Amino acid sequence: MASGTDISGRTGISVEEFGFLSGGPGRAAEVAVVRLLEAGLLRISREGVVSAVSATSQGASTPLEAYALGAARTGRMLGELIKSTAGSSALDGLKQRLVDRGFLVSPGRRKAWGFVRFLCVVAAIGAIVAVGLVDLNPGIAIAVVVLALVFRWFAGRMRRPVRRAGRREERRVVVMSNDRVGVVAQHGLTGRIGNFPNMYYVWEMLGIAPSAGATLRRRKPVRNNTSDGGTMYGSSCNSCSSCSSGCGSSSSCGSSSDSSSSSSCSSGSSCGSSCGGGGGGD
Amino acid sequence: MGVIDRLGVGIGWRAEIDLTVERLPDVDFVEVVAENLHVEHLPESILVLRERGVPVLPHAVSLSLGSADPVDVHRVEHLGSVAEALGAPLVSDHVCFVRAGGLDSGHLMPVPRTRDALDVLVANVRTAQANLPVPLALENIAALLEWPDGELTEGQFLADLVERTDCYLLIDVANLHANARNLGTDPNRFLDEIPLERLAYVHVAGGVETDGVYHDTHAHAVRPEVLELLGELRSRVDPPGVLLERDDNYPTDTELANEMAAIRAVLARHG
Repeated sequence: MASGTDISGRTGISVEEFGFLSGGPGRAAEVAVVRLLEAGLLRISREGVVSAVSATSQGASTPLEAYALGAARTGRMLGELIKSTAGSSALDGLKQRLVDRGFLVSPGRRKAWGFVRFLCVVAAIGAIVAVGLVDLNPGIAIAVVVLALVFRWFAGRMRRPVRRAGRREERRVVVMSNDRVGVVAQHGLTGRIGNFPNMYYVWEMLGIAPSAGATLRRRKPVRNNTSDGGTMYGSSCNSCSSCSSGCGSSSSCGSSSDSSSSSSCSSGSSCGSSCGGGGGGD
Repeated sequence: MGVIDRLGVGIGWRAEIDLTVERLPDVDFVEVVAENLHVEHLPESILVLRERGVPVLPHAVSLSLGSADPVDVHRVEHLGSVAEALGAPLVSDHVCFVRAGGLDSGHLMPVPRTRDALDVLVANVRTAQANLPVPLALENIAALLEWPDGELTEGQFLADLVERTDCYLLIDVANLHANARNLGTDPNRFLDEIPLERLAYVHVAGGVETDGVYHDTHAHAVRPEVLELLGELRSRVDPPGVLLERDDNYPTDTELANEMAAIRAVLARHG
């Protein structure tokens, strides 16, 4: 349950771990969701609604997959599901394993280096102020500022989430082109693959419809900052033509018995059927 | 019957399974919940199906034709506009009410089977028909209660409704089974009493029995008893169409295809 699938060309690191090292928590969540889609445990609609195939968590091979499968039980937009999976407690275990193996910097250590960066700024500003207030030799002040900036840069490098060992491990991985989940881990759903000029998005390679792909919004990548990866997810419902006036609007929901469809309206964008549930059946 | 000569075997289109519906073999027609559609922004999947020539029938849940209040013409017009946008040969709703006194029940509530209630229903159906561009079919519901002092059986009630409004019938055999199990009604008598020549199509759905009560969940597999009722209906009439409804806990594509195949098998066996 804990290790996941070893990826093509490399053993000892799971595809989720590789995804995390390559692109942060969001990438690991993408890997979990795509693995479930590929296994037929999740289905995705043309509009990007991801729902569990029958209400069972059987088939999930990692805690992250189990979370995604449970979260999709009522139907979630693709981007929203990945975002929620990336922020789930199930991801903490994955992260901790990477810390324990020396691939990631621990949160405490990152915090400490962040504080060092703050102190460098304080030292630099203090030196400049001291020139005016206590007649500090400008040469000394300049030296302090330069040293502070250099040390701040160094602290920034030390604060990067992926340690050298993690980057080395990531580079060792070889992903075969037919390893679809591995390709997602390496490039992300919004990554582009292929050869110029015939490049395409990874989500296109997976056969995800454009309107579903549109729920994934590209964000400016943060260099080596795997705290949240390079892709931002949200329920940008820009193509949800099925967003309903019926569901969610109590005035129009006369619904079927226990058609249980109320649950499927949770995303507000995928109201496949009537809302409510209860008394009579249609 | 003219308006809908032959629909075949179909499945309820739901946003969650849109690609599944597109992929399934031998889907002759689909049904959409009309309240979930905006005419200006029809789902791409629906457009794809229409391009393939698959009939798409709007099914409403909110007209509340059994309400004592007059029918909301705006809702009827929306239903009509969806039908026109889809090129649908007919639309449907239920013999029920879903609101009263400004409150929504959130459920399909059974109508008292009295002559007074029938008069109200007939008036609302006629108003709806006058504002619809296509014929209207009305569906029997699954009820967990019956109002006291009923003067007509459900079959007689629907027969009178058809006679006075010339509407079509959409018969849900799962609801028939639910009422038989929960209320002790006789499905055979129901089938004897309704005008089968006005049958537009048939709904088949799954459910589950818990503590002696059958729940028409649309989230479980179709039970053999429901298929038996479909066979009983088929032995009396060749329905223009039969549609599988599934609204939640969607199974694999294969399981849905198997359920549709089971429906076809029943129709063939009792034909």
